[in-house]
Amino acid sequence: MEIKKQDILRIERLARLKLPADQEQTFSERLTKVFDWIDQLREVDVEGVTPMVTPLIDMGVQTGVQTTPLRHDVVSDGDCRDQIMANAPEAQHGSFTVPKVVE
Amino acid sequence: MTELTRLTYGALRQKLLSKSITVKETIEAYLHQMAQTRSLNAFVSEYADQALAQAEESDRRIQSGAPRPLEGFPLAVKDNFCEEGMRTAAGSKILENFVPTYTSTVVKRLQEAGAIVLGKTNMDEFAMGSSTLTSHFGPSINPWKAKGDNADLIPGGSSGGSSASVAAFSSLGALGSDTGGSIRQPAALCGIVGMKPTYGLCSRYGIIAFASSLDQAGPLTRNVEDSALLLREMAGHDPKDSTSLVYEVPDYTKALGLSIKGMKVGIPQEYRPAGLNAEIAQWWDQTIQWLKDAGAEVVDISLPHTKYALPAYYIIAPAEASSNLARYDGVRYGLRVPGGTLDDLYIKTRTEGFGDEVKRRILIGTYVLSSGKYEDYYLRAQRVRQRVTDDFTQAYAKVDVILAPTTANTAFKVGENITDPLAMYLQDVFTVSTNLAGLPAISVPVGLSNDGLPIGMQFIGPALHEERLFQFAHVVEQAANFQLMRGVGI
Repeated sequence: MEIKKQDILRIERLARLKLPADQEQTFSERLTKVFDWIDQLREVDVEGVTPMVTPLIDMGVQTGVQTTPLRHDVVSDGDCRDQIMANAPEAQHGSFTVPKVVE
Repeated sequence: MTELTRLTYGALRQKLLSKSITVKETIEAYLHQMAQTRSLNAFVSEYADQALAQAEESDRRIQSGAPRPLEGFPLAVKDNFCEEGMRTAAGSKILENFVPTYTSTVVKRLQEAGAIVLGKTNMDEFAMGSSTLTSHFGPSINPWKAKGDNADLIPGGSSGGSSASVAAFSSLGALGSDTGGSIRQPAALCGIVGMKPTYGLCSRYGIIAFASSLDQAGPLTRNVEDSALLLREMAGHDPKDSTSLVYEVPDYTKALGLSIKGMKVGIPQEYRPAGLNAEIAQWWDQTIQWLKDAGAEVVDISLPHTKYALPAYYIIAPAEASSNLARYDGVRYGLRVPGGTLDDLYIKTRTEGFGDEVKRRILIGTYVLSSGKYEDYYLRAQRVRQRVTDDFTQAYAKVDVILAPTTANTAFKVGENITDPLAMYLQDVFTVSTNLAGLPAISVPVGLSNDGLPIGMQFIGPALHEERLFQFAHVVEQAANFQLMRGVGI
């Protein structure tokens, strides 16, 4: 399946990043090749198969081990605003700052 | 002093407990070796002062007669495991100045067991690669050289700094993470042991995420016993990772030396495609012979969906990555490139902060998750993932363990950059199925190619059968009698 340059521009916008302008054409050609190869998945009969989002479901059945246990909904961490803010590239009054978003 | 770095942990521990050497001397020997092998670019951060301070604490514990299980173990840690107060960059420019406020659970557990972190190791950016060539900090170099050729070779990846360090004796063991083969493949290319545990055996808390349904931490070591020792301390449920299994971790070392007589080893025909590297095929046959000599029964099996595992992986892993990496927005931590609007800031930050391969994978992931493509690609890949998993389930009704090569080739030259993405992705062809199914696998060095480079074989087991993998790996280790020291000539 051909992936055109305009498809690349669309997913760049969705992903909020840009390839170097001179790479967009090459990348669309590469991606076309990758998806031609990926298209062999159409050969597999997946009729009635539930999409597998995690290995844990099969694992729980096969091993009898408890998976994804629940815990009580209580605070176990916190009170560390200043440590967290220390990694912020820009902060004011204990808040992250961003360019103005509302006119 | 360098002899200290040659010991297994068992031998080292005996000397430490009999007080014929100190932890401080041991750590000094490793720091010396780290300095001597700096040209390999295995480490991106060195923790000399912290390591020496901890060595003194370890010596006090030994003096007071209360050594912990891994007291004084000289450990290297892949740079995607967070450690409080220590820069953790995951090979990326976007995290070049990131200092975590907490420590990953597995690192914490190993430290509490007495291990001493010597530094952080280089890796492909966000673990996306099989060579360390995508690291923002430049590639690491394999300590091995091909016979009669002085060219630098890649150490494999993405845990390539970890594998280079262990093979070069600048750490006794190292932590890696394995999303599609990133522990086993570099271990095989550097002639060491790499263990990828069952999904959920080790906590992922504090590991910088790549693909959350595939990522798993594990040890890289010079022998099977050290691997078993490290895994035992790393493993176990963590309330901070709800996907970690509620499971009582056994003493894996008890499996070492147990007979494999009468046990069944499956040989999957799909892992022997036409054109498989002849030397790798030869060492595979040799390994089969060793297992037969030890009394195991060898059975041909089929894993019919094997060829679809790699294309399914290259949808699922990028999809999860594109979601996980959405957090790098230049607002809360990491690099920020100013922009006139918020969107402009996001785009500039991510464009400058991510390397080319990471961008490509985010874009592939974004594409397969986008409206109109989700059903056709993402959901289909997940259905194929179930088929790949079912293949294994059916196989384990007949065999105890599966044996296959870890890699399709030996280490390639640093200059031979693979530009064709498909050729690059094929590096993972023997390893990704295990991650899709969440199964444990261990790679063991078995021998050398004609040009003198290491070749590894992997055992793949049913979920939570790490003990069985250690049992088989130990049998092969004994038979192969692989000589790392002679190979790397350090």
